[in-house]
Amino acid sequence: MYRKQVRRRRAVLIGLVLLGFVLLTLTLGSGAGALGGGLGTVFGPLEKVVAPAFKPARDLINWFDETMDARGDRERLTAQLEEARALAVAGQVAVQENEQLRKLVRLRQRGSIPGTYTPVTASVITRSPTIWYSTVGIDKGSTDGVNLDDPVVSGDGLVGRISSVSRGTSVVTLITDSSSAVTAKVLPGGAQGVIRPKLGAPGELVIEFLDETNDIRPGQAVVTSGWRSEGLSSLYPPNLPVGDVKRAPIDEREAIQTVEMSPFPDLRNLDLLQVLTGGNRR
Amino acid sequence: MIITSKVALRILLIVLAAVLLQNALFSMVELLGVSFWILPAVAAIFGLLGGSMVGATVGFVIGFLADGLTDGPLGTACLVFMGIGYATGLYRERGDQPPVSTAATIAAAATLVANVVLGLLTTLLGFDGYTSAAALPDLVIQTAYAFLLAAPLFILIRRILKPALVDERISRHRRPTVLGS
Repeated sequence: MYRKQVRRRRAVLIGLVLLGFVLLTLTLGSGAGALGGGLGTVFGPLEKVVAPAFKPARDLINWFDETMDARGDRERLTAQLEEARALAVAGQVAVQENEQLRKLVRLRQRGSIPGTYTPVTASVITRSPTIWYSTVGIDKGSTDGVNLDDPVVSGDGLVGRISSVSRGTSVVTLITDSSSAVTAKVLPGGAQGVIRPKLGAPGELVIEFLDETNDIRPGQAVVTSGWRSEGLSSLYPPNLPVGDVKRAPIDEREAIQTVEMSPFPDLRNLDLLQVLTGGNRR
Repeated sequence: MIITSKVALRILLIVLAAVLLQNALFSMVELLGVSFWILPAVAAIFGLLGGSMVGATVGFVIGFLADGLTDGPLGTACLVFMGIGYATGLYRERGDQPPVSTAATIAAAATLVANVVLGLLTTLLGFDGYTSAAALPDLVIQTAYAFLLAAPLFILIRRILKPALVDERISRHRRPTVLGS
């Protein structure tokens, strides 16, 4: 009885294996063929009935999957956005720096900076916290050749002078500081005076002690005069652009020989500067 | 397992329901980008409940239906699922009916083996498909799904086939022994 049972089991198993191989051989490379079509015909209507019944369950499970996918996408896109923002900011900074450096190069090419000076390019690292913005700190110091009273320019013109030097950093006193005085001339005409900060108006300048006031009009350029006399000389080389005449009312010109002017550089937004080291003023 | 005409009908209905569920529900949903595959687990469960012959036969039928309904090459899934049913049946015949946790583990292992063997067959026979190491995470996830689904499937199928299971009959007819009588 047991042997018979074993024989029957073996026969069934061998039969199934053979049937499997026969099916495989018959349908190799052609898919399920007619048999598959027959099964489809039988199961098709059943599936059509069953599939809509399972739709809520499918939607629920797929909702979980899509939610997890969406969370992954959100994190990935947020990271990409941060990266793109960082790149955009870096690009804008680079463009701005490039523009400022070009201006500095143009300033030198125009001959505004005498050849006896050696420009040292520096970045502004600190700003005066007061509203007067009278000083800024730069990242170059005595080890870079920076000395006390060296003139400092931006791409637009004169900014100030070095008022304090350490090994790696320096402090620039701007021309709008109350302690600042720059001898200058108005072009054309060459009327000479001293540029001083305007009292009570941070960022604005006046030219005082003008020796000739008749031909001064708004819009005229103001440059350093760079005088030299009996072993003494101005801190600033001649012909550095400083600003332009803003207001020149006739009464102020006649009575106190003073006109108002605006500096060319935006002294509240300084980033890249050049310290004019060396020179022949000493 | 004692096969009567009623039990055979139940088995057939379970197989049809499993294939329909697979096609209409589990193949249509994805979690973590991987769909569920219950058919190898069902073949393994039949082996664990009914022994090698029932396992092999049901595995063959499940494979045949799966191949036919997916328009795949007839015979591949037949052979693989038949092997799974036969192997799990042999395991069952060497001991008692396994607990649910063991059944779930065996069903998960069956899913993994079925995936690997079908992948190899697909490659060897040159059918359309791909077999690469990139599919490894998917294999692991699908095996985990099979483990999770196998436990309720095992309990459900065992409950439906209860009248035919030899273990259940023995425990039902066992009388308490009274010592000293």
